[in-house]
Amino acid sequence: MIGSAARLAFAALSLCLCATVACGGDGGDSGGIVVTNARAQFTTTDVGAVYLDIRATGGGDTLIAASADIADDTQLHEIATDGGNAMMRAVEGGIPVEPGGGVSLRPGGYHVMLLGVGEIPEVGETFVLTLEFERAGRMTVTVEVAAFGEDADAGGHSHE
Amino acid sequence: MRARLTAAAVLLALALAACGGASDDGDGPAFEVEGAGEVIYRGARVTPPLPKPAFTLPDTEGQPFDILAETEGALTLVYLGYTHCPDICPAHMLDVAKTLEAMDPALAERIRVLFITTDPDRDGPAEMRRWLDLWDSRFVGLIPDAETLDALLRSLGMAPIVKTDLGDGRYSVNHASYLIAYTPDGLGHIVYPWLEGGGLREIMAHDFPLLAADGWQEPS
Repeated sequence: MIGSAARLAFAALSLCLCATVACGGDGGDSGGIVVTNARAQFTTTDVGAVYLDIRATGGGDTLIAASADIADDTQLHEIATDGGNAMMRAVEGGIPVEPGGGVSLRPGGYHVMLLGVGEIPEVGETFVLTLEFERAGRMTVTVEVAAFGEDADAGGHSHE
Repeated sequence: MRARLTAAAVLLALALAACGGASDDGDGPAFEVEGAGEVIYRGARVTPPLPKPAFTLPDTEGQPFDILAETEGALTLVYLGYTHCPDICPAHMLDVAKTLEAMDPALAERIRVLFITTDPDRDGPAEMRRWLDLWDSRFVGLIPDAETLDALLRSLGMAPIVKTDLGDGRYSVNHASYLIAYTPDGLGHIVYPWLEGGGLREIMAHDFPLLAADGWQEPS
């Protein structure tokens, strides 16, 4: 009983913060992975991009796969720009998360690509995304659908 | 040969842009055009300038759109991309829309925006219109057939279309990652490359009123 209540509370907490912690699967050696700021952008077509921030609180890890019920297929993508030519492609070998550091999936860099989205969700709606890490294993995050351009605004004015 | 020279010029401009180092934090100059020690334009210079595409293409109403005739004398912003692009095409178009929205309407009226699809197989008139209306219903969508698109890309020194297979019949398409600004002299002296981390809107907001009001002014 207490266990399930704790799990519920944990689920509620992670929903509020849009963040989830997955513990290392091999006795704490790998440390934890924290995912925050998960948001998605859609236009009028059946594709969407999910952006998020991943932090490794201990050892490094690699994001190797993702899945979401709202899409037929979910892939890890990157934008490669070469001399002014942009090409979107699948990431080979996953997205590395440096030990004690992190990686931001953001426009123009890495994103989780949703393909074959049946019904395009509205801004403000949420959906569940499952992430699979090489060491930390599977975790779920709640993704909020953001208005297009929020990243551009943030990037133009913030000082990270 | 001419196309190759032009491509080299764009590459040079973009290489210079990369050296500006603003892509990560959005601060400071990314790429600028200076004259007499002062910044005149904040976009990236292309030398020799890009020719305006001398093509007539179907628009989203199915009507032929003669680019040279329709845009004569206007500041003409041209972007090549596709509607299944999840990331930088929409961000670029949104930035253009927001920049125009914030401008003096009298100047903004002198600007034409053309979006040419690099994915004519999927981007039909209805799909293009729906997508462009997200940003601005005045944006003109143009849909070349594959052969015409190839010739158009060549005329601009851009890489030919390559489809990357994403499985299940799905694919992504490459495209130029910069907006070309054709001034009323009919030439593309200046481009606005995608900036990771933002800041593009401020750069365009600086240049567009100048270019719309006075055209291209050769830096002294």
